[in-house]
Amino acid sequence: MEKVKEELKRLLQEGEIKGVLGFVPSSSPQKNRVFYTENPDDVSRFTVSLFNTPNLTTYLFRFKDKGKIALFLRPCEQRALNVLISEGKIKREDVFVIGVPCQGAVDPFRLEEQVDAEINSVEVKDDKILVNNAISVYIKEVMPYSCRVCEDVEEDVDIKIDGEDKRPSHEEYSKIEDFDKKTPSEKWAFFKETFERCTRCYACREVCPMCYCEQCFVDSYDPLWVEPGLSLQDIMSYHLIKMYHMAGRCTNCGACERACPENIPLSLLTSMLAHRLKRDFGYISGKNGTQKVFLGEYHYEDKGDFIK
Amino acid sequence: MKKIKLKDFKKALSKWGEVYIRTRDGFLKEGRLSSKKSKKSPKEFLLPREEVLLAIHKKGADTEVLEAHPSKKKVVMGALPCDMKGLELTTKNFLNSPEDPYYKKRVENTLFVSEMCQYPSSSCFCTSFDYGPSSKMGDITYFRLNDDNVLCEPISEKGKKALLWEQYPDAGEKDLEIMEKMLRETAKRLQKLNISYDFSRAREVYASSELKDAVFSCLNCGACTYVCPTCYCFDIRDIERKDFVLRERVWDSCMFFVYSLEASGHNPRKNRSKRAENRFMHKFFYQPLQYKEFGCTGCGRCVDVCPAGYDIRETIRSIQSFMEGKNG
Ligand code: SF4
Ligand code: SF4
Ligand code: SF4
Ligand code: SF4
Repeated sequence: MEKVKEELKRLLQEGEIKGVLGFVPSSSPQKNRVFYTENPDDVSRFTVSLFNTPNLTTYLFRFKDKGKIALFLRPCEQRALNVLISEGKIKREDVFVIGVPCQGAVDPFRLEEQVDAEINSVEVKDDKILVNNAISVYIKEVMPYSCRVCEDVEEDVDIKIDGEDKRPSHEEYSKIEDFDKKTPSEKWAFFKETFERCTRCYACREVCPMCYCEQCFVDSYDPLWVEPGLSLQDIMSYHLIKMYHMAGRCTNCGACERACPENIPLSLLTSMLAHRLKRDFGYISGKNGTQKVFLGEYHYEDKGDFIK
Repeated sequence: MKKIKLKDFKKALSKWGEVYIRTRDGFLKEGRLSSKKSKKSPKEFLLPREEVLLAIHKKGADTEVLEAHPSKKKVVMGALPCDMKGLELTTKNFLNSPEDPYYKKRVENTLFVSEMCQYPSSSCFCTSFDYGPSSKMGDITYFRLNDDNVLCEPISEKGKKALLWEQYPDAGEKDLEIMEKMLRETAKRLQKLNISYDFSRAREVYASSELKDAVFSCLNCGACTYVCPTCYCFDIRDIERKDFVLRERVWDSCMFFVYSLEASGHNPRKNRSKRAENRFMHKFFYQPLQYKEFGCTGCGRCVDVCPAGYDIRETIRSIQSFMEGKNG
């Protein structure tokens, strides 16, 4: 990390990059604060950890045509950048990618729920987090499911932070396969139990790099796709239509789930997209920046012949 | 002050209306009184997340308008001073002329039983404003002496009539001493910010790069506005049902793009940072200018809920130094 910081400082001083986008510690140790600087002296403040919650590619839209921005990205976040590149939204030459070795990402709100106490300090010890020097929690239990089914990226970074890639093992999509076995009414019961507490705060939308529409379908009055209330039907309409818009684009980065203050297991939905994409089309979204966008190409051997 | 068993207190209150108590999450009918501030403020008792104002019934060629009047009596038990302060502020907005009849009805139908606070957390900064953990607010206030007993007293006329106060014993000297001591300790543990703003410089602050930089991390979700006890923005929507059209009031958030989108297609706060800046400006400049009081209670809920690690206190400090730096 120190070597990388030195290099970033030099790049800023020499004007090779315009600014650096990353995280600095916040008043809550379980979630670092997103921070942007153009000042070389600020570079030392950046921190890289499991407690970096949002996916920084989301913030890139604020820097359109502003010059080259350096940002810290985990593998799934690099994939998100790749999708935005293939969609023509971001130019590769406008970003300077700092590769981050990943060990999974912690959902701060899930951690809070688990320890049920105010969090004053966190310390990572192997596969556990020691909270307030007293309570030990398995990382696995406080990260989104998406981290367990993480897919690889064809690495294309400009600089890399040393460190072992300790991503939680690439588990099979067993939870998704189990979910598939449920009947429609069991699925609805599951949604009722887990999604009913959604407040429609849209943190999951605002944090998502793929949700870059200026005006979201849920905010449309005419036509009114989704009513503004909190019935389960409205809530699920939002989430399921969002998923349609994510198909082949979402890289299962889990940022939406980590941003959700209500601890809704959103990455189950996104993992389902990833699972279908891989199983039926052998496609991994954002694997690199050169593959075509999923819905932008077809092959003769694809299932279904409606398009031929 | 009277000394009452918590159990009996709750039971007595339930004669006035349905009792909702402070839990970790929000104010609920079930659950135990928590030893923390709740994640959500009790503002939804006066301004529900979703509320039908009127229904238009289609009957063949005729229509009938049915107005919905909230009538259920509710007791909000354990609202902390920061919750109550928040409600005072929203009430200023809704009961300023013209009065909002729906809001007013809810005020009449709700008994606020506040708890003096012993639960400061690292995100709290209430003493930066003109009240604190020992402020006695609402209709009735109480102090939680221990798991089983409370010391309490009525504040408003409504509170005086709500219980048969004479039947309870007075609190002893010793109990009152414990209360004073505990409340002093609580106040000591709180962070007090220096906020001395010159409100006439609002335009300058809104245009400053200091404010823009301070709110950078904000994602413009609505999470903080929904938990904030003083955010009261709403939208009115007409919803069609089979034989009805329902006119509903639902929460809105100044953080959303469509909030400030005008019919012409122009959006004065198209830019994300402007939306976040506006939230700060409203609470720390426009509300003081309009109501002579800050629009923030220092409850810290926005700090707790923000997924981007944004902390409003950093913005408060940075604007404070902006004030000092530029005008000496
Ligand atoms: S972040 Fe959570 S509560 Fe907010 S809209 Fe998304 S799922 Fe609902
Ligand atoms: S939907 Fe969630 S998991 Fe998918 S890209 Fe967006 S934030 Fe990441
Ligand atoms: S300050 Fe945080 S919680 Fe509030 S809108 Fe911004 S990102 Fe959301
Ligand atoms: S702005 Fe934040 S600290 Fe202030 S009243 Fe609202 S939630 Fe509480």
